[in-house]
Amino acid sequence: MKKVDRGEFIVPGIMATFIAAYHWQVLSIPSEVLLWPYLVTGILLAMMAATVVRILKGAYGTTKEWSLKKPAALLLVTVIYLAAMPFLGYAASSFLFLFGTQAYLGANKKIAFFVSLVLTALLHLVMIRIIDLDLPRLVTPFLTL
Amino acid sequence: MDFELMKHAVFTVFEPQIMIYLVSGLLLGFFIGAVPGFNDTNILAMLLPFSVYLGPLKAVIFMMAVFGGSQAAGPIPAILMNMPGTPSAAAVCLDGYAMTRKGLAKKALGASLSASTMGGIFGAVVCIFLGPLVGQYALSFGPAEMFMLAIFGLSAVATLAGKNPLKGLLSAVFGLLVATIGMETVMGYTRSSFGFMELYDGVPLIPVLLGLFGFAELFDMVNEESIVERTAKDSSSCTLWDGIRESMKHKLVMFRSAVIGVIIGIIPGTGAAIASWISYGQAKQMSGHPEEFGKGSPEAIVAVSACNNAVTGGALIPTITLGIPGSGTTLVIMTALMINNIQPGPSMFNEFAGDAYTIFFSLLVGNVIMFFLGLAAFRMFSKTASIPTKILVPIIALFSLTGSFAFRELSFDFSLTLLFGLFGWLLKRYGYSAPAFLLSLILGRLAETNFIWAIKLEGMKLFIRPIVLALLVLTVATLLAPLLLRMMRRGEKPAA
Repeated sequence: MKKVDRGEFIVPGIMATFIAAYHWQVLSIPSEVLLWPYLVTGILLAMMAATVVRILKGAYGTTKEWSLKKPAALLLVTVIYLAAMPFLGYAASSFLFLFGTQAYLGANKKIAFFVSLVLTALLHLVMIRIIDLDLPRLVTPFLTL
Repeated sequence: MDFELMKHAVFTVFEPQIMIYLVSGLLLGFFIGAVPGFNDTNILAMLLPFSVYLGPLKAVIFMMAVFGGSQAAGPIPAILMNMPGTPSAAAVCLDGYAMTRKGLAKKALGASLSASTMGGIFGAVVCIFLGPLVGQYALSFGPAEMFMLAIFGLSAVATLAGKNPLKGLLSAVFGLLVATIGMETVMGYTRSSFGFMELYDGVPLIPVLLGLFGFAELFDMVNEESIVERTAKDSSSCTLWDGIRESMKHKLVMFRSAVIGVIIGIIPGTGAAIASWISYGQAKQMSGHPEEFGKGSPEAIVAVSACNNAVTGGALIPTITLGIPGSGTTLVIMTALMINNIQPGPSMFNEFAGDAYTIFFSLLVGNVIMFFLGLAAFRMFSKTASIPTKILVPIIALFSLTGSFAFRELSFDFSLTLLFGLFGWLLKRYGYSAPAFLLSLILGRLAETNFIWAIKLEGMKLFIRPIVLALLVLTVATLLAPLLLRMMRRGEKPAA
């Protein structure tokens, strides 16, 4: 029997969780407006079953090794950036995100600092000053960033 | 057709004042198209009050130039960073980014620019000579026709399924279910918005595609030193002109895609996103080398780019000749005319025929100018591919996130981009198809709404109409064409 890659179950697992959450939420809605979703779910479940059977048979083989360290770090830094933005404002948090990530990935610190500063200034000018997007801002007694 | 008025329109377009607005509109359009998340509709809406001061001609010509420029520049981040700024540019990612990884970024950009120009010129010519006539057909599209059009578009999934057809189709069907999130349009019930007000209008496309393509790629890119593969050719060995020459080898593909773009552009409520995927699917089905699609085929880039810009001309036809704007951008353009006391519609060719022809001719001239401006702009942008990933990855991440926010100005969209980035990464890793998922997400709502309306209005009878049947034949032919072509080629081999 061929070896089964357990990672293959991740995507069908996400889909199954989504289907369950979706249908749990629409329990109180008249079935008349769910005609299309029911039709799509039926097809989706049939295809998922076929996919899972193929996975169990080992038809897709095994995927190559993950190198998760840097992707996980990028994900973590992005989550921290998004969490910090309401407090630090768009400009300051973007600068820290750019500089920190570039430095972590091994870029020359001087170049990283310069690139981060120029890009942040440019984005601040275009997004906040010119287009006036409603991005979070850091308000200090002296200036608003 | 009044040739005297046409002649006058040509002279008007070449007036220095008009040219200034044309060129500045194109430059602004390039900027909007090249920065992911910038939306030409939003920017034009912001500029709408100024149209009172500019007058109808200058305002509309400027806006059309922005529209055309943004469509032409949309493929730039898609090709160089796998980061589509607009839904219509997503189809360029597949082959454009693959070419960049092979060190052929300039060739891909050249092919895209040239095909965009030719597509735009074709759209403009159709506008000028057939506009008033063709516009009438837009009204023939009812719910049944729109449903069949969506199904025709979905037939492209067959070409996007990749190595694992079952997983590709599964991705597409999952996309159809995700597309049902939000308020349904018949009775107004909200379906599975997971308690988020931000999902009441459905899953927003821009954050999803920036996540699925832009952010998802970063998780792989972060482990590499450069976007360009080590085994790739020296990027300095190819130029934009190589791409332009390559695109000219695919004249038939360019023509067919431009026709698809104009036709889809004419139909209100559709747009370049749908047209580009249909065009991609058609090009792959009819290609002599379908196996190269998705791996860096210039033919695919030509098909998508020609179609994208031909939509601009197509979309203008119902706006000017019928007073029916087919998209947000054409709605803003129509409003600019109305603010200046010009009512677009059938009477426009009687009362303001000169203005109408001038607008159409400006589209033609604008596309020619766009080519030369594009040569400079695309060359400048092509250098991005040589930046090391340790600098580029955080920049792409920041632009993806900021772009997703700029679309609706909701912080929620930041998280959505990140979430779909992770999902896209998993889809890619395990051999599912992110493009098939995206195509279903784009077409799902169109298909469902029109299917329900068609059944409610006249039942299944509505499906026995000439355009519906023609689209049905096209869909079946599209799905069967590769099989037939393969059988024909097999039949030819022994003889050879």
